[in-house]
Amino acid sequence: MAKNRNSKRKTNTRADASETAPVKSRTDGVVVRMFCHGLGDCFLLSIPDGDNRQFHILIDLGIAKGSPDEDAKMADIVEQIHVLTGGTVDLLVITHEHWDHVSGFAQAHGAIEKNKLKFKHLWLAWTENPRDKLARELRQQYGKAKLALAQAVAAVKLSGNSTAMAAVRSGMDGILAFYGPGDEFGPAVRSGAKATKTRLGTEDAMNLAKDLVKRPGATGCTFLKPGEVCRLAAATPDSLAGQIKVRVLGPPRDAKAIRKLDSKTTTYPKQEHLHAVVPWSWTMAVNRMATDQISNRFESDLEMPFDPAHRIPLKQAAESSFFKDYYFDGVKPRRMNAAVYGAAVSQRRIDGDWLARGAEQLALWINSYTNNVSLVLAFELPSSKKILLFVGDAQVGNWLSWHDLKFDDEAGENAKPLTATDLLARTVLYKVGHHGSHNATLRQKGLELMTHDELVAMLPVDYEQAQRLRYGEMPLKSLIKAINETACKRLLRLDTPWDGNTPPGDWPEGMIKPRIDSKSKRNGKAAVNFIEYQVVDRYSGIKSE
Amino acid sequence: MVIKPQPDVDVTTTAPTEMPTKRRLRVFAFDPSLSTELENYDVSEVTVGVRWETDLKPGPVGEYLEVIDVDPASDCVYAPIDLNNPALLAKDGHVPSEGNPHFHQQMVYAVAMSTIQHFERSLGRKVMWSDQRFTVTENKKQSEKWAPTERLRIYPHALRENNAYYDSEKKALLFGYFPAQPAEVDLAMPGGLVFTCLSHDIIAHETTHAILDGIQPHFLEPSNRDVLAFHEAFSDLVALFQHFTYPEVLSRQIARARGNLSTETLLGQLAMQFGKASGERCALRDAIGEVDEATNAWRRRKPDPAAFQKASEPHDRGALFVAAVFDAYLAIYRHRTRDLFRIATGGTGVLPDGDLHPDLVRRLANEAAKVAEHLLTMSIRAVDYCPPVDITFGDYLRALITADFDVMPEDERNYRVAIVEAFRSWGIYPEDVRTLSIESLRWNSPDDATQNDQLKPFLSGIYGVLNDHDARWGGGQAWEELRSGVDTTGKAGFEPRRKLTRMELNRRTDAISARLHEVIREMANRSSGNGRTISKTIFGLNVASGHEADTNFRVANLCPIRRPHPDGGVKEDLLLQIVQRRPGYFDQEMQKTEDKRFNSVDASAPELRSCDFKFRGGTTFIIDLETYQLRYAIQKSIFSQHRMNRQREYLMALIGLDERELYFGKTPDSMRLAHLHGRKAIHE
Repeated sequence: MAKNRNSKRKTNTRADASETAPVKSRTDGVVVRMFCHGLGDCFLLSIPDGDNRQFHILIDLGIAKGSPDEDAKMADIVEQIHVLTGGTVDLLVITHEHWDHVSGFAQAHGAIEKNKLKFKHLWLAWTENPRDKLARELRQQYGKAKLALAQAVAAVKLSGNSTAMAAVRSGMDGILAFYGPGDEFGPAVRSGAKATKTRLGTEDAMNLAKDLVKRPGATGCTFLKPGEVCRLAAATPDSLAGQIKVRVLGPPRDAKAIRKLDSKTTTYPKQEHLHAVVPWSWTMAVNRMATDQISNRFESDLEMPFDPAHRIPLKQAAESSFFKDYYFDGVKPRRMNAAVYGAAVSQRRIDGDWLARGAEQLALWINSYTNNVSLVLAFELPSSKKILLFVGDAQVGNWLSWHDLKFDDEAGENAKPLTATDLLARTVLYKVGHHGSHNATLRQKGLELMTHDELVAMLPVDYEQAQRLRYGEMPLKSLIKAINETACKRLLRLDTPWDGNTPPGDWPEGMIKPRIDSKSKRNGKAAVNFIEYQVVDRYSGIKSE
Repeated sequence: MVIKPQPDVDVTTTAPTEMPTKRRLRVFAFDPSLSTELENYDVSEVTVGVRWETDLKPGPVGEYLEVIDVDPASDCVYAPIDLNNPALLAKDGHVPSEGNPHFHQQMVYAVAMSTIQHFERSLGRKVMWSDQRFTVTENKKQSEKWAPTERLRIYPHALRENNAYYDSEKKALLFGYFPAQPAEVDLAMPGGLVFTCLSHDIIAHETTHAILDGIQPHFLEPSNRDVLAFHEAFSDLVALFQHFTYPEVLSRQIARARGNLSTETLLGQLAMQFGKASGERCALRDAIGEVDEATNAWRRRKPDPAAFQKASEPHDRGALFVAAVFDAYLAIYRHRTRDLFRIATGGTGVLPDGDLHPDLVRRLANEAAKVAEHLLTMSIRAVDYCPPVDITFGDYLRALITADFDVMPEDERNYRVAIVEAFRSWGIYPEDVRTLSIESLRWNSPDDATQNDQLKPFLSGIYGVLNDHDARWGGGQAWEELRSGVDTTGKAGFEPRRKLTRMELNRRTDAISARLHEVIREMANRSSGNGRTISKTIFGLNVASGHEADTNFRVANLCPIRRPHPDGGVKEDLLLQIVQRRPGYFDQEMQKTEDKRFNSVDASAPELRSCDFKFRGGTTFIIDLETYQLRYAIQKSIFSQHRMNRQREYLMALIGLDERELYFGKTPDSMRLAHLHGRKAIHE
């Protein structure tokens, strides 16, 4: 599709220079660097902006909780960004509020200050806009859900040590890893408790990032809505940076789509309310348990299924012979070993089941919700119309909503407005969503539409770290296979660096091979590499057929 | 005159009293929602007669069930009901009420017990629960243990969510309660509490899951896309057909539908209140029709032969299967009542306007109940005729036809034709038959001529075990006791005999199974010429070929089954299942290496490594106990490459699709299975 659009606009000198020395020359395309620090996103884009200048965009700066040498690595990345950019990041983009996308602003705060790294402007999704009514409503509900989850975590911790509960706890920890260390949820929850902790959470990191663009010389923050077409604030308007269009695809301005998390799961009913995920009576019970207000236990009576007259407190029941014999202890047959009998009896009890199942659903809901409010950007190169697609961690609802958008900024020359299908067909660089998990890359209305011959995928996943956090299929094997098929094996993973000059996949003449590099001044484990790949703004004439 | 005090004579205890056979208990016929509808108010509750359990304790805790009302979310328990309380005995238990936890306990007990009774009546034997498997940590070592499950546990208020399920690890039914969230306020009171343990359909459905798990424990292992769907569909069927066992409800619905059951009635719907309170406009499931999204009007669902091939989600496939069986039911009902309509209308068969004559209604209800009972019995009996592993709907259709044939060799009422026709119109076919005729659908008996040298030693081995008088393991006595259900220990001459309890029967089954296992092993390992020998790979099983670890097998589900003899009386067959497994790998190369090893006869093969999935094979044997002829051997071969590939493909396509799995690990089978949810996603 992009083939015949190789327009004759003035791309002048840049195109010629690159033909002879593709690696050295940075003048005719966008250089994308993916830092290989661990499970987390950190991308630096550099675009020619006039003769001696580059326009630098940083998309996310984070690493998953509990990664080895996390603080040192993030500091190293900040130092490298300082070297690569010369001290100023022209544009910072934060896709969404998860620790593995923003942790660096907290962890490497010192390094940012020490190096005096400047950030000029910040792009955030409209959902972060405090003056947007819909965003406020969503955030309010999200806040309630977070509070309920934090209480559920507390309640789970209170409720014994059975193997079933251990599995739930490990799962919740895995999801909570997206919210950083400490009290799991940053200020929202901590304000209630004692603010004694020294580790910062996700919300702290977000605030620190926002503060960076409030300084003198910075130009603040813009909130982007789907359907908008943005320009970079480049110094030279007719440079590549000045000509690039950034099309905003998500998050959708539709509360329903945001809540559509997964095309298959059955646990998310069609009601928009949080209570459709977990009933309010569940939330109240959790609240009661977590805050452990014994005096209040039987006051809020509507959540209770029966009148007080019918209720016998659990503690009291443990003394009654009926519940002792049939529930708590059982009656051990003489011949049976006590440990074996004890295991059999406790397996049949249901103490934490109600809590575990609700907490799981709530945690999944919150997690997917945050992923779905990811800012999705398509960077369009002016001559070749190639697209660089950065999806954050967008899930199904977000992906589907792109297809409702129509971009008619080109309607003059092109009668039909652009659709998501067009944009996907022109995509030559795809940042794989959510570290390659299954519902963050749509198949039919996503990957299968990425038909460009030069498609390259960049996947920020660290399999070992994902395993340490006990994430099941991250990345999903069948997705890796599908991407490999679509992109002629040009899948660049940050956890599988290659030797020498042979990156994975077929790199035909005309495409510039990616390379591994580093500007680190450190030694040992904390020194982070990056994978550098350059997208040129002209059609290379490759035919895969 | 002076009245002298007479010495008191105690006259109250002299007359012998016979214990009642039934305990009458009041329950909601469907769920509490009908009790606030004027039209249905008088059929909103029914009184069911459940078997009189002499030793019923508070709970209720009986021979089969224990209702334990713990509600951890509310940090409390509810006192157990004593159904032997005279006040309750005199008035058929508590009055149906949502606000009384004792009624909740009474209702789950009553409905679960009636479901159990349907199974016992159809199968002619006691319902047993599957063994409890658990892990014990002793001295930091973990070991797998199992123990027989005496009673199924019921927790009426276990969860605060709109769900209920059978948990196969806990051997328990967990019911939830939740505030209603209707799509429209006139469907249910928003925020009003809905109890899943007060829904007749949900209780029957979940109890059926537990009973089916007791009969066929491997049907909870999703080895192909039909296995879990079958569990769901079967449970739905039992719950649906149970509606037809309440005469008052049935007559009322038939009168309302003017005899035409293919219209919208309560009979074909499942869990109405639950559906409406969870944001649907209709019942959770409907076997006959559906509600049009646009017009909100009910319409009869039309068979779509292509739908079954396309549907991959378990609930979808299950719903199509239920619809097919129900279509068969309706066809038989129409067929059987045509004469009644003709008689009532002077031969025209065209009903005049207005209500039906009450006599006609009663006769129609009678027919409807009879057909339902027959189909319910057949559906349940067919479970015995299923292969022990890797069930498909096609297999079940063949089992259904075979079970029906065994009871009624002459298909006088054309039941089998109606069933095959319905399955065909819904596009549900077995994969391994040449034609869709009744003869080819019926499981075939093994050909004596070709397998004679195989069969004879195998059958005589079984005969030997059942008629053995070796006292070390109980011998033939255990088998006699299992067959008759009474204790014969130490009874030389005539003495009154005690009935064996379910746990005692269980121990006898275990003893015979163990002995049979030993004998089959011996026969297979014996070199020819030294007595009875059988093939090392008999009936698609590996009993002696290759490495010792590969030949492990389990004798499961051994019991006598009875069927009416065509010449009157009852004939007895032996049902015997043998199951085994071998490692499966997602990686084709690893699988090839493993297959090569498995198929080699060389005994010094390497040890098994940990595998990606368990591949199971197994055979159901049905043997005539009079003549010791093998009537059916229903096989799922352990050597089948086709099934192995199918299972691998199925499992690989599922990997990573569940977001829950990404963070919380593998979902236990039971949980995923019994979710009442699921339909909802499909409606979306």
